[in-house]
Amino acid sequence: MKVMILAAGYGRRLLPLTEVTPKPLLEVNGKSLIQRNIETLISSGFDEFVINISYLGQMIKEHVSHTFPGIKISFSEEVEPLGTGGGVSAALDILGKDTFVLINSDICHDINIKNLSSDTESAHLIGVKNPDHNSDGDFSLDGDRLIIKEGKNDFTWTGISVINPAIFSNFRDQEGPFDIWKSVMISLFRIKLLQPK
Amino acid sequence: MEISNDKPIQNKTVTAEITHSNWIDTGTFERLELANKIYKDEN
Repeated sequence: MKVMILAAGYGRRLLPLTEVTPKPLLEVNGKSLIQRNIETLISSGFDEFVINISYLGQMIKEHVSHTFPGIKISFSEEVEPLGTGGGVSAALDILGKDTFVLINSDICHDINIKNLSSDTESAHLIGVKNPDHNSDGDFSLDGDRLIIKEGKNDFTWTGISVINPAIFSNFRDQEGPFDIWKSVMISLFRIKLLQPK
Repeated sequence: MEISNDKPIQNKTVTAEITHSNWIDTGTFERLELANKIYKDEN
Protein backbone atom coordinates (compact mmCIF):
# COMPACT_ATOMS: atom_id res chain seq x y z
CA MET A 1 0.00 0.00 0.00
CA LYS A 2 1.06 3.57 -0.64
CA VAL A 3 1.01 6.01 2.26
CA MET A 4 -0.24 9.57 2.08
CA ILE A 5 1.16 11.89 4.72
CA LEU A 6 -0.73 15.10 5.40
CA ALA A 7 1.82 17.88 5.81
CA ALA A 8 0.33 21.00 4.24
CA GLY A 9 -1.25 22.81 7.18
CA TYR A 10 -0.30 26.18 8.62
CA GLY A 11 0.08 24.99 12.22
CA ARG A 12 -1.38 28.26 13.51
CA ARG A 13 -1.85 26.96 17.06
CA LEU A 14 1.91 26.61 17.28
CA LEU A 15 2.76 30.17 16.30
CA PRO A 16 5.31 31.71 16.59
CA LEU A 17 7.23 28.43 16.19
CA THR A 18 5.53 27.78 12.88
CA GLU A 19 6.33 31.21 11.50
CA VAL A 20 9.68 29.89 10.36
CA THR A 21 9.32 26.12 10.74
CA PRO A 22 6.47 24.11 9.25
CA LYS A 23 4.74 21.95 11.84
CA PRO A 24 5.95 18.62 10.39
CA LEU A 25 9.53 19.77 10.96
CA LEU A 26 9.04 20.57 14.65
CA GLU A 27 11.07 18.15 16.71
CA VAL A 28 10.30 15.60 19.38
CA ASN A 29 13.40 14.30 21.12
CA GLY A 30 15.63 15.83 18.46
CA LYS A 31 13.85 14.32 15.47
CA SER A 32 11.27 15.97 13.24
CA LEU A 33 7.68 14.80 13.48
CA ILE A 34 7.57 13.81 9.84
CA GLN A 35 10.86 11.91 10.10
CA ARG A 36 9.54 9.97 13.07
CA ASN A 37 6.42 9.02 11.17
CA ILE A 38 8.22 8.00 7.99
CA GLU A 39 10.73 5.91 9.95
CA THR A 40 7.88 4.10 11.70
CA LEU A 41 6.14 3.51 8.39
CA ILE A 42 9.30 2.17 6.74
CA SER A 43 9.96 -0.16 9.66
CA SER A 44 6.36 -1.32 9.32
CA GLY A 45 6.94 -2.35 5.73
CA PHE A 46 5.71 0.64 3.76
CA ASP A 47 7.97 1.92 1.00
CA GLU A 48 6.07 4.38 -1.16
CA PHE A 49 4.92 7.76 0.07
CA VAL A 50 2.90 10.72 -1.13
CA ILE A 51 3.23 13.91 0.90
CA ASN A 52 1.08 16.96 0.36
CA ILE A 53 2.86 20.22 1.03
CA SER A 54 1.98 23.89 0.88
CA TYR A 55 2.93 26.26 3.70
CA LEU A 56 6.76 26.31 3.87
CA GLY A 57 6.52 23.24 1.70
CA GLN A 58 9.95 23.56 0.14
CA MET A 59 11.52 23.12 3.58
CA ILE A 60 9.56 19.91 4.08
CA LYS A 61 10.50 18.66 0.63
CA GLU A 62 14.20 19.31 1.18
CA HIS A 63 14.19 17.78 4.66
CA VAL A 64 12.40 14.62 3.62
CA SER A 65 14.39 14.16 0.41
CA HIS A 66 17.66 14.65 2.31
CA THR A 67 16.68 12.39 5.22
CA PHE A 68 15.29 9.55 3.11
CA PRO A 69 17.39 9.28 -0.06
CA GLY A 70 16.41 6.27 -2.13
CA ILE A 71 12.89 6.11 -0.73
CA LYS A 72 10.13 6.61 -3.27
CA ILE A 73 8.44 9.86 -2.21
CA SER A 74 6.13 11.99 -4.34
CA PHE A 75 4.98 15.45 -3.39
CA SER A 76 1.54 16.87 -4.05
CA GLU A 77 2.07 20.61 -4.01
CA GLU A 78 -0.80 22.92 -3.06
CA VAL A 79 -0.69 26.66 -3.74
CA GLU A 80 -2.75 27.16 -0.59
CA PRO A 81 -3.48 24.39 1.95
CA LEU A 82 -6.51 22.42 0.79
CA GLY A 83 -7.39 20.89 4.12
CA THR A 84 -7.29 17.20 4.93
CA GLY A 85 -9.97 16.29 2.40
CA GLY A 86 -8.90 18.63 -0.35
CA GLY A 87 -5.32 17.52 0.06
CA VAL A 88 -6.20 13.88 -0.50
CA SER A 89 -8.50 14.72 -3.38
CA ALA A 90 -5.77 16.72 -5.11
CA ALA A 91 -3.35 13.81 -4.75
CA LEU A 92 -5.62 11.11 -6.15
CA ASP A 93 -3.84 10.98 -9.49
CA ILE A 94 -0.60 10.17 -7.69
CA LEU A 95 -2.24 7.79 -5.24
CA GLY A 96 -3.94 5.70 -7.91
CA LYS A 97 -6.93 3.42 -7.51
CA ASP A 98 -5.73 1.13 -4.74
CA THR A 99 -6.41 1.63 -1.06
CA PHE A 100 -3.77 3.60 0.79
CA VAL A 101 -2.78 4.49 4.32
CA LEU A 102 -3.52 8.05 5.36
CA ILE A 103 -1.66 9.56 8.28
CA ASN A 104 -1.17 12.99 9.79
CA SER A 105 2.42 14.17 9.89
CA ASP A 106 2.08 15.82 13.30
CA ILE A 107 1.28 12.83 15.47
CA CYS A 108 3.57 10.85 17.75
CA HIS A 109 2.51 7.28 18.36
CA ASP A 110 3.47 3.70 19.14
CA ILE A 111 0.55 2.18 17.24
CA ASN A 112 1.29 -1.08 15.48
CA ILE A 113 0.53 -0.39 11.82
CA LYS A 114 2.36 -3.39 10.39
CA ASN A 115 -0.73 -5.47 9.90
CA LEU A 116 -3.16 -2.90 8.54
CA SER A 117 -5.35 -4.58 5.97
CA SER A 118 -5.83 -2.97 2.57
CA ASP A 119 -9.22 -4.63 2.26
CA THR A 120 -11.73 -1.86 2.85
CA GLU A 121 -14.64 -0.78 0.70
CA SER A 122 -14.47 2.72 2.15
CA ALA A 123 -12.30 3.36 5.16
CA HIS A 124 -10.80 1.70 8.19
CA LEU A 125 -10.08 4.00 11.11
CA ILE A 126 -7.76 3.62 14.06
CA GLY A 127 -9.15 5.18 17.20
CA VAL A 128 -8.13 5.77 20.79
CA LYS A 129 -10.04 6.49 23.96
CA ASN A 130 -10.72 10.19 24.07
CA PRO A 131 -7.76 12.30 25.16
CA ASP A 132 -8.35 15.35 27.34
CA HIS A 133 -8.13 17.70 24.38
CA ASN A 134 -10.92 15.90 22.51
CA SER A 135 -13.14 14.74 25.35
CA ASP A 136 -16.27 14.72 23.18
CA GLY A 137 -14.67 12.22 20.81
CA ASP A 138 -15.32 11.57 17.14
CA PHE A 139 -17.15 8.25 16.99
CA SER A 140 -18.63 5.49 19.11
CA LEU A 141 -19.39 1.82 18.79
CA ASP A 142 -22.82 0.28 19.13
CA GLY A 143 -22.13 -3.42 19.35
CA ASP A 144 -20.05 -3.97 16.28
CA ARG A 145 -21.41 -0.91 14.48
CA LEU A 146 -19.51 2.31 14.12
CA ILE A 147 -21.78 5.24 14.92
CA ILE A 148 -21.54 8.94 15.54
CA LYS A 149 -23.72 10.20 18.33
CA GLU A 150 -24.75 13.81 18.48
CA GLY A 151 -22.90 15.14 21.46
CA LYS A 152 -20.33 13.02 23.21
CA ASN A 153 -18.66 10.04 21.57
CA ASP A 154 -16.35 7.44 23.05
CA PHE A 155 -13.36 7.38 20.73
CA THR A 156 -11.10 9.76 18.88
CA TRP A 157 -9.79 9.19 15.38
CA THR A 158 -5.99 9.11 15.49
CA GLY A 159 -5.61 10.48 11.99
CA ILE A 160 -4.40 7.06 10.88
CA SER A 161 -6.63 5.14 8.51
CA VAL A 162 -6.80 3.01 5.42
CA ILE A 163 -8.71 4.79 2.68
CA ASN A 164 -10.33 3.49 -0.46
CA PRO A 165 -9.92 6.33 -2.97
CA ALA A 166 -13.36 5.55 -4.36
CA ILE A 167 -14.87 7.50 -1.47
CA PHE A 168 -13.49 10.68 -3.02
CA SER A 169 -15.21 10.16 -6.34
CA ASN A 170 -17.88 12.74 -5.52
CA PHE A 171 -15.29 15.27 -4.38
CA ARG A 172 -12.94 15.33 -7.37
CA ASP A 173 -14.34 18.58 -8.72
CA GLN A 174 -14.79 20.29 -5.37
CA GLU A 175 -12.78 23.49 -5.24
CA GLY A 176 -11.19 25.00 -2.18
CA PRO A 177 -10.21 23.43 1.11
CA PHE A 178 -12.38 20.86 2.86
CA ASP A 179 -12.09 18.62 5.87
CA ILE A 180 -12.00 14.86 5.41
CA TRP A 181 -13.88 14.13 8.62
CA LYS A 182 -16.72 16.59 8.20
CA SER A 183 -17.10 16.49 4.44
CA VAL A 184 -16.22 12.91 3.60
CA MET A 185 -16.41 10.63 6.61
CA ILE A 186 -19.62 11.94 8.11
CA SER A 187 -21.56 12.96 5.03
CA LEU A 188 -20.64 10.14 2.71
CA PHE A 189 -20.47 7.11 4.97
CA ARG A 190 -23.51 5.26 6.16
CA ILE A 191 -22.87 6.19 9.75
CA LYS A 192 -26.01 6.51 11.79
CA LEU A 193 -26.33 9.73 13.74
CA LEU A 194 -27.94 9.03 17.08
CA GLN A 195 -29.67 11.50 19.35
CA PRO A 196 -28.28 11.45 22.89
CA LYS A 197 -30.48 9.51 25.31
CA MET B 1 -18.27 -1.81 26.40
CA GLU B 2 -15.38 -4.14 25.85
CA ILE B 3 -12.48 -2.45 24.12
CA SER B 4 -10.36 -4.79 22.11
CA ASN B 5 -6.73 -4.02 21.56
CA ASP B 6 -6.00 -3.58 17.85
CA LYS B 7 -8.89 -5.85 16.88
CA PRO B 8 -11.02 -4.73 13.92
CA ILE B 9 -14.61 -3.78 14.67
CA GLN B 10 -16.74 -3.74 11.56
CA ASN B 11 -20.00 -2.45 10.27
CA LYS B 12 -21.15 -2.75 6.70
CA THR B 13 -19.30 0.28 5.46
CA VAL B 14 -16.84 1.67 7.95
CA THR B 15 -14.46 -0.35 10.10
CA ALA B 16 -12.45 0.77 13.05
CA GLU B 17 -10.05 -0.60 15.56
CA ILE B 18 -9.31 0.79 18.97
CA THR B 19 -5.78 0.88 20.28
CA HIS B 20 -4.39 1.54 23.73
CA SER B 21 -0.98 2.48 22.36
CA ASN B 22 0.55 5.90 22.93
CA TRP B 23 -0.82 8.54 20.60
CA ILE B 24 -0.32 12.28 20.79
CA ASP B 25 -1.61 14.92 18.40
CA THR B 26 1.08 17.57 18.78
CA GLY B 27 -1.16 20.43 17.67
CA THR B 28 -0.47 22.69 20.65
CA PHE B 29 2.54 23.71 22.71
CA GLU B 30 1.30 21.64 25.64
CA ARG B 31 0.95 18.48 23.58
CA LEU B 32 4.26 19.01 21.80
CA GLU B 33 5.85 19.34 25.22
CA LEU B 34 4.04 16.20 26.37
CA ALA B 35 5.37 14.29 23.38
CA ASN B 36 8.89 15.42 24.21
CA LYS B 37 8.44 14.20 27.79
CA ILE B 38 7.06 10.82 26.76
CA TYR B 39 9.67 10.15 24.10
CA LYS B 40 12.58 11.69 26.03
CA ASP B 41 14.15 8.35 26.89
CA GLU B 42 13.36 6.41 23.73
CA ASN B 43 16.97 6.16 22.60
